[in-house]
Amino acid sequence: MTSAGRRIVIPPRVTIPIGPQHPALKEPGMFKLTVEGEHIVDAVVNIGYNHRSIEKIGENNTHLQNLYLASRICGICSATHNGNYAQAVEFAAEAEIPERAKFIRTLIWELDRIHSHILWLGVAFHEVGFDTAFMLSWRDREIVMDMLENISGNRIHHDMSTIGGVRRNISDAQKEQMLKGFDKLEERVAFYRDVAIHEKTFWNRVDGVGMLEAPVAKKTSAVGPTGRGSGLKVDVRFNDPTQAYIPMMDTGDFEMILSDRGDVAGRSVVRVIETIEAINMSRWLLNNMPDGPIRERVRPRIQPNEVLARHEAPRGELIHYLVTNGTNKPDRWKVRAPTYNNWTSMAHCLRGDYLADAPIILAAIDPCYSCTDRVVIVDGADEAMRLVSLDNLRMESNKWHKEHPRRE
Amino acid sequence: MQTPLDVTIQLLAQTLAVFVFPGILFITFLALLWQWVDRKAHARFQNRFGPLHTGWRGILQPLMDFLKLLGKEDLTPKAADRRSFAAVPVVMLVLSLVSAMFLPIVDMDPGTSGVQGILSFEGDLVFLLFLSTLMAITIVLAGYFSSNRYGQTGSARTGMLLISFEIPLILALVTPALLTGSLRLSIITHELSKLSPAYIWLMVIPFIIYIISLQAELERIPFDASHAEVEIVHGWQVEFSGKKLAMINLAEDIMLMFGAGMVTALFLGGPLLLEFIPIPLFSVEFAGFMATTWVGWIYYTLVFMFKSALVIIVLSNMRTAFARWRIDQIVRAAWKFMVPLAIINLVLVQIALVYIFPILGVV
Repeated sequence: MTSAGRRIVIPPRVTIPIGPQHPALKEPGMFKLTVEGEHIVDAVVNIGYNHRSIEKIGENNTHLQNLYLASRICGICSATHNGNYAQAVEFAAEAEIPERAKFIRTLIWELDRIHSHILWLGVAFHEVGFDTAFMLSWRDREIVMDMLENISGNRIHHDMSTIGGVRRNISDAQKEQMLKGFDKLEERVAFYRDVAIHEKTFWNRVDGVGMLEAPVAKKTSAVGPTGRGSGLKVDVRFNDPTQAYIPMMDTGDFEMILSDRGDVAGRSVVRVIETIEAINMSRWLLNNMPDGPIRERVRPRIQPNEVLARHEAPRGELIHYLVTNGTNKPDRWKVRAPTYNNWTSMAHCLRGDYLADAPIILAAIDPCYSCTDRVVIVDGADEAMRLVSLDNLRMESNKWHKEHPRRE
Repeated sequence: MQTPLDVTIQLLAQTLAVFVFPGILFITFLALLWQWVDRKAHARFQNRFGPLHTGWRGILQPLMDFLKLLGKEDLTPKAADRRSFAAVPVVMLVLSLVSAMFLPIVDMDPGTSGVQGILSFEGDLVFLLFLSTLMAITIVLAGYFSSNRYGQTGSARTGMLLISFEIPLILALVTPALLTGSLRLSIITHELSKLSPAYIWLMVIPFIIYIISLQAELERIPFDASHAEVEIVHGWQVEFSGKKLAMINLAEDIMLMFGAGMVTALFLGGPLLLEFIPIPLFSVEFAGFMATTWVGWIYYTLVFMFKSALVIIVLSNMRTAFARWRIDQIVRAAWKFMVPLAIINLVLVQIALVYIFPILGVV
């Protein structure tokens, strides 16, 4: 088979699909990697397998129903969506909520961050085959899960925030229990920090892998630990604090965790140290929690308004854009999840690395596809990227089907 | 003069040895038992329980897994080379079974000194290494026959891994052969047990090299880049299902049992334990009693199992303590560290044997 037109490339270029269903992915997503031997020469990223039309459903629901719908956007950062939606509605209604409610809401957000980051750490360990640390870190994650269950009644979908405050109060006994839990948790997280940094087999797998330089991170508007791992100062808690973050930042005890490494190791270190910082923040919130009511009545009909609520979710900046029209239903509700910002940089991170690094690079932005679903076409050849609206997509698909009629 | 009856009885006994004890049935039993030990130890190291429900503490779980896989649907991909694809599991199983038959578990030939396996001849160590290389080639071919991209990547990685670690593995086995002047497994075990305790020091480095290379040969963490499930979905095994997968899993278990058995035979004194106590009661009378009567069969088997189980636990501990290496890291580690270490060790052994031991007066 030596036809003249056939060119043989050694090593051969093979396209390896990671996804839509793949053990490395917790949710459906599609990554087409072109590899030469073990080197990734090209990466095509495509998500959009998990579209659930939540924003459209939300337009037919009341604001109170939407709170519970919002928390179902994501299983891991449910409190952030729930709390941020409540915050958006309060901004639109121009209602002020009690101080204690602010503190409790912020506490839930921080606990959510702790459990999300420990979960991520476990997943990262698993992606590089370090299953022991994965099992142990998820065991210790149960401490914070128990805390959340203790104060909200649920492990995953806390639904603590409601419009005008929070649903449940925190008693003194619960406070004592939590403070005790934080001590244990801090010790364990410090241990995992040391494991991540000093365990050679893990460190060698993340050191210098998936480089995202600061200019590229800025260009692709990376947020959260992905941006902070590349040295970008992006943290809504510090840049644009809301709720109880305002008095917390006024104390000046807390610092934004940054790393200028720009690789997966930098992102890992940022996340682990941030967990310890989140534990300290939660402790501060518990110790300085003011007394008073936990809920302010807000009338269900919200005045016509247009607001943008920002919040630092565990994965990065989360934006809820809300247009109200004077009824008890939103006119338009738009959620921009942090993964949407982060995964645009993924093709850049993947290119030039080893195939074996692909899972950890994909995991390093802590992707949450169910939060994010748009159609983006990434052209692997010239790094071009374009957003395609649904109408255009429909037109293109009609065109394609016209050109490729079904064979009989 | 042999009567036909004698010949028949002899044939029956040999058949029993090959098929039941210490042959295929016993090897399979040990392989499944070691899989259980490995899974249980691995789970306990990870603060899990491991198999729990089938049998006593899940001891029958490996058997259940095997039987269940036998009943599953057996698929062959359209693009695969059908015959070669079907042949791979059989070849792997046969190769692993044949290798395991060389293990000196009980004395099959009391006429010769030392504990003989079912198969034993001069130079069988070389033959065993040949078998393990054949196994590696079969694995590489298995990935290519399945014509799957994950499979092909996996087999390319397997090829690189095995090429890198076969060499330190073979060099580590040279030391016991040098010390005893034999290439026969049973003779090596027998002669090593008679050497003076000073020789233990020469066996330490080869032992470490062999354990690490063994872990790589068996493709377990940290060397399991060839079937990393989060990257290439079990690599070369990805297209195998049903009976074929059951056979491949059994073959891998037997290779684990064979590897542990080799460590036991070459470095841990084989099926001898109490014989090493330097009192005549043990080293002469007990040893003679065990070597000549049927009690030895039970005793040797139990000692062999005990030592192998220890090796298995060491191997599972290694599996627990590390993350998976990338293939380039594995290859670099092998060529920059393991191979030079093995060669330096050989030089050291030569120097010790020729210059140092005569000065110290070690016999």
